[in-house]
Amino acid sequence: MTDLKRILLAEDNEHDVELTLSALSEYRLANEVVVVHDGAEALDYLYRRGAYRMREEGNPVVVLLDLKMPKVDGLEVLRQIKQDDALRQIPVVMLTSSREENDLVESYRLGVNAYVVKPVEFSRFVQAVRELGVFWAVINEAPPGSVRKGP
Amino acid sequence: MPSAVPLRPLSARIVVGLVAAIVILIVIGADSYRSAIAIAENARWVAHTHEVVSHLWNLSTDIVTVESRRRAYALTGDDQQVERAHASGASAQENLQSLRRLTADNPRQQERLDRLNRLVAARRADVDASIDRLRRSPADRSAQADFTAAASRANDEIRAVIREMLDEEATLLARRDADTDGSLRRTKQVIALGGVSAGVLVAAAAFLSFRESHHRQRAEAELRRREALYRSILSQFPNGAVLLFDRDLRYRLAEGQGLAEVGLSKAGLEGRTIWEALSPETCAAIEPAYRAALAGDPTSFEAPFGGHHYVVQVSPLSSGDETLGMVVTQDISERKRAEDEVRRLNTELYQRIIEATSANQELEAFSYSVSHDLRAPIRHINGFVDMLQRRAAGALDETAQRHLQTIARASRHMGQLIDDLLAFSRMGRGELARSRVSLDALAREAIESLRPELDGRSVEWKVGGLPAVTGDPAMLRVVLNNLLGNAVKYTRPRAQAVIQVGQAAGRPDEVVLFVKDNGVGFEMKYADKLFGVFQRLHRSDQFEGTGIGLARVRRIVHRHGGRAWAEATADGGATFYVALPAPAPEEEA
Repeated sequence: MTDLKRILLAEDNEHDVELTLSALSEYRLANEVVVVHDGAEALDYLYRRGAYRMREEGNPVVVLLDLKMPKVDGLEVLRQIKQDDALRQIPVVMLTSSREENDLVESYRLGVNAYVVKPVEFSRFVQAVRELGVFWAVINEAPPGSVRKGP
Repeated sequence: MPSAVPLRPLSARIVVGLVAAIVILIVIGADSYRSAIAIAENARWVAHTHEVVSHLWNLSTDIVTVESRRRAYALTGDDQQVERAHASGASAQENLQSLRRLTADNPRQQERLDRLNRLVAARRADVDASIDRLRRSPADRSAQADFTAAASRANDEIRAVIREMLDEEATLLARRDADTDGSLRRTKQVIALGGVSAGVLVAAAAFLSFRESHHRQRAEAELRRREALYRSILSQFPNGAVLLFDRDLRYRLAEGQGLAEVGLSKAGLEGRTIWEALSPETCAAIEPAYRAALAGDPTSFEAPFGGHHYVVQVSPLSSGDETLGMVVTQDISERKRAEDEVRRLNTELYQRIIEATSANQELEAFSYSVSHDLRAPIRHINGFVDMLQRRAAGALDETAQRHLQTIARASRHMGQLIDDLLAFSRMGRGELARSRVSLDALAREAIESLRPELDGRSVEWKVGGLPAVTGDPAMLRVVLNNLLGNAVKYTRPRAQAVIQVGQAAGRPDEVVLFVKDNGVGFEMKYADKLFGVFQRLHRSDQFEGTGIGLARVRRIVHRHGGRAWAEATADGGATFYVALPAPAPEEEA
């Protein structure tokens, strides 16, 4: 696991953030996770504006989006990413509590790359997050323009 | 002869016959007239001939008288005789002039008259000369009394010419008589022949006319019979009326059971105009439609009348050479009421749907919220307990660790309850995706998915003869998974579990599936509770579960238009039945 890449996690719930980071950290994937707490922040980060005006260049290799977030919700963030030529290649994974079919259908209509329902059982949650991290951050070849850090 | 004999040809024949008879009679009349004129003309000529003859005779007499007076003078010397001789000579001259006039058209007689004129003039000159001589020498008067041979010859010539003329007139008379006779005979023949012909024709016409009249009477009787039949049919016209009207908007016919219902009658309409029979408002409403129909345009409209609601059709009706209007009314009050009722019910239904939709939307918002917001804390509890267990495993005693396990189990159960509840609520919504579903295949899939739970157990499956049905495959899979899962679960105490899946006898419009096990069963008095949400008949430490499964089964089955029930005895096994509507015949193939 030397070839680490940056993951953007948009999640408003601190508990979920902690559990997610905990799960990612078990497999040493957490040091490259940028956490934002609502959709507006997520867009600011992606467009390098507001608080993230000065951040270094490059897109995250994957965006993990919670559906229900304050200000701008996950579906809206997804829509903006997929409508923007500069961003649409970033893989976006919905990471959500909801099993609602409408959310699922709408997400795929907007072009989501994966849709994951957070399992209630922690061991399965850990497994799911780990697999996600491994797949998108390690196995998957990120599109050009993604940040790639050496060991 | 059939009643449908066409009347026109007969009439034409009669007319032809009568015209021929009239023509013949006119010809006869004309001929008679011409004949009468000819006869009258002939009669005039006969009279004329007689006049000529009469003048000839008078002339002859005058000639003789002149001679005899000359002789009498010669014998007596009486001067009176000379005057008489002159008078007769003048008379002879007059007769000659008359004859000249009367025979002006006959050149032969004129030529004879010329000769006669010369002879008579010569004779008169001789007589005058003889009288002069007698006056001058009265002594030898007696010697001159007798005719001289020359005088006698002259008188003979005169008589001969007169005879010729008389003969000529006699010949003309005979010819004119013959002409008259011929004309009369021909006229008689024409009258006889023409009269007979005309008589025959008139008789034929009379015969035909009689026959036609007979047919006409029969046809009229047939017509009356038919009209009575039609009227009788029309009078039975239900829930409305049939009316016929003419160019004056006068009703010719009014029939139908509907008339009485709105206070109208056949007698009140037939023979009357609309203005005489109906109210001014009604007339104003119907008149344009009536006029349009007479102009050839049919119309149809709905209108209230006399407390009823009618659909009125007004159409042109060609009846022989005149155009009538036909009105057909149909009482649609009942339909109208039914439509109003349907509209009212629809409005009500629409209202209910709005209410139901809004309730549904609320429920959806609720379950969305449950899905998101209830699951999150449970996940957190679970997650943090897990982390705590890892971090503090060594520092906690056995009781504390058991407490943590209990918290973890309880939160997992809570999560399961929420998931089941959401699944149950989702099932009530959305359309059924109907297709042909093989229950046999679904049962085998369900058994396959249950295999992990059969680990170390002895279960005998008897699956067979399952039919195909029409339904939502995903939902029916839930049904079979639940029923077979239950069977597996509740046979757990049995050393040898026997689970039977098959088709049971049922109503012809149903397909009945049963799942029978030899498990712990239940008491039938609780059978009603079995399919309720969160209803359980066993303690969860004996048999785990949320109490949602059979509620989902029943809900799915109901949504398919079927029914579900169970039979069991306590500790004696249970049989669950699911009846689904039989597939339509074409789907069976």
